[in-house]
Amino acid sequence: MPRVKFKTLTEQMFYILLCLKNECYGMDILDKVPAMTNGRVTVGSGTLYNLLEQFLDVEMIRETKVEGRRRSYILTQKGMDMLREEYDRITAQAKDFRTVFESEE
Amino acid sequence: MKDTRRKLNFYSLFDFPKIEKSLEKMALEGWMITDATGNLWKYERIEPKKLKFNVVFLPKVSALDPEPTEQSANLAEYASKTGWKLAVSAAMMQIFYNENENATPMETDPIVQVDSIHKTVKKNLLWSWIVLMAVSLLNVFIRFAGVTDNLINFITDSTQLILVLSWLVISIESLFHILSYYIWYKKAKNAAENGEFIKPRSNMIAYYSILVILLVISLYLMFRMFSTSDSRIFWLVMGYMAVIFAVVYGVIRLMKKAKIPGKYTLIAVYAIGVIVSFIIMGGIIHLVLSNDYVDEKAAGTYEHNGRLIEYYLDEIPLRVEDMENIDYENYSTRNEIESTIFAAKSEIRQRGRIGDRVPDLEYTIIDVKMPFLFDPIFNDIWNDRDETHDEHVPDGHKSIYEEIDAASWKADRAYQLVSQEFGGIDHYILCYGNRIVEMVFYDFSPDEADKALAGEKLIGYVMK
Repeated sequence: MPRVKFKTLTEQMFYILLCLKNECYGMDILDKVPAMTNGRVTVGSGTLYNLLEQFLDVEMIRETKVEGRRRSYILTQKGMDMLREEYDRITAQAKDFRTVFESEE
Repeated sequence: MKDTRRKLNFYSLFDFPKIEKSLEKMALEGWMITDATGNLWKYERIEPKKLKFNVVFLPKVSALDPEPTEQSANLAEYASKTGWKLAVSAAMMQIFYNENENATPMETDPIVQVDSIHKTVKKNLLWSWIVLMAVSLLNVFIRFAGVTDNLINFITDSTQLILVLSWLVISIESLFHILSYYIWYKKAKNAAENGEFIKPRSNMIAYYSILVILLVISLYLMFRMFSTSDSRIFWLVMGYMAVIFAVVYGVIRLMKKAKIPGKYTLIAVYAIGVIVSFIIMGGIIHLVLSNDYVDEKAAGTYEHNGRLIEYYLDEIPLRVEDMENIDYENYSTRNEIESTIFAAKSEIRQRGRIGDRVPDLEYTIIDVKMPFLFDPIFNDIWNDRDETHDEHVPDGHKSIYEEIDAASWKADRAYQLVSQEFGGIDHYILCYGNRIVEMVFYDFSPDEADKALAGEKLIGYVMK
């Protein structure tokens, strides 16, 4: 069944939002995500641009500063809540994994 | 050696993987895309090199927005960070290239990519396909509805038939676009959930076959319009289309240049398009209805109560003078012939000038080319006048066809319209093999000799 928009987050959505815990230039996210994940996750510039636009539309982030073409963003409470929900979902999955495999040991 | 060249883009906006591949091939041959508006794309000469191209869609941008848009410039800034350079910004479609073959692609999240494509297609293509399909189906329906009103006119008019065919082709084409898009979208949306991106694929062979069919139909219609109707009407309609196109295109260019937002341009284009259309169509109608306008096919004109009346001197197989001893030189004889693969029709009118009291003759000869159409056509003629089942006409006042002696007319079958009040009317239906003739005599009645002569002439008439 297709997902409800932003009900669950893809890995790239998750890390973009994570980068915006503190105010950050949108463009810098392109470097921050690979750095944060040891190069495991990279975000394409088209994907980043379109996602920032969508996050703004649903008020998961807000624009804080515009310097020419450089724009800064920060997570809103709504964005924070969604990030937290995703974190809870992932940790629940991890916990279930441990329960299954540790019980076998 | 030319440094620029133009090449037709054969791919739809939605089929961007093929666009990317084609641009990569062009770069290898030493050509870089510099303009991707319309279908004739512009390229400039470069050193042949291996480049990677990526198309990114910006759903919020409209084709009418002034270039470059704020969104396009912002995206280019992001892209530059990973080595992508903007080659062309064509409204919602942004084309980037990168010299590094291993650069991170512009789109890395299938969910976001499918969503952007869907929003772009929905905003720019889907609605136009749906509207086109609705309009074409409505046209097919309206034209088919005309069959019940007048089957003969419908099946003998090649313009009508070809228009039905072209509207049918357009509706199939639109349906094909809508279906193929939705099949891809459904699959791509599901696959994106698993992190996979399914490339859209449009069937361009089918698409261009349809375009070629439509082009052939349009050329045929133009040729027919030019050869069968007044050539001035043809040029007026062509001029009308050219002016509308130039005005709309000019307004878009001007407003884009003036950096006016797309939504205002859209309103202006609709408003100006409608106003200019009304003015030009009004002008054409006024000209055609005006006293100065004379049908090119007319042999001449005469004046009646200050108005110019056209007369014709077409060849006709049977004339009033063949049957009546009359000395009158001002007859107008019109013979309008239409032919399709289903039937051919010769509509003949011999009339005296307005105000002159002389016998007139009207007859329509129909050659049915497909036997299964004989009965429907015959019934169409029959029901046009026969009031047997007409509830609005009371019994005793109806006009009804009655079978008469066909041998007098040298026909296979013959029928005369008979008024229940006044008796026989000089209105006949005659059948000669696959030929049906409807004949009306005004102010004279044919005697036996006239009927025999009419029969001979009608049998011998060859429709050209």
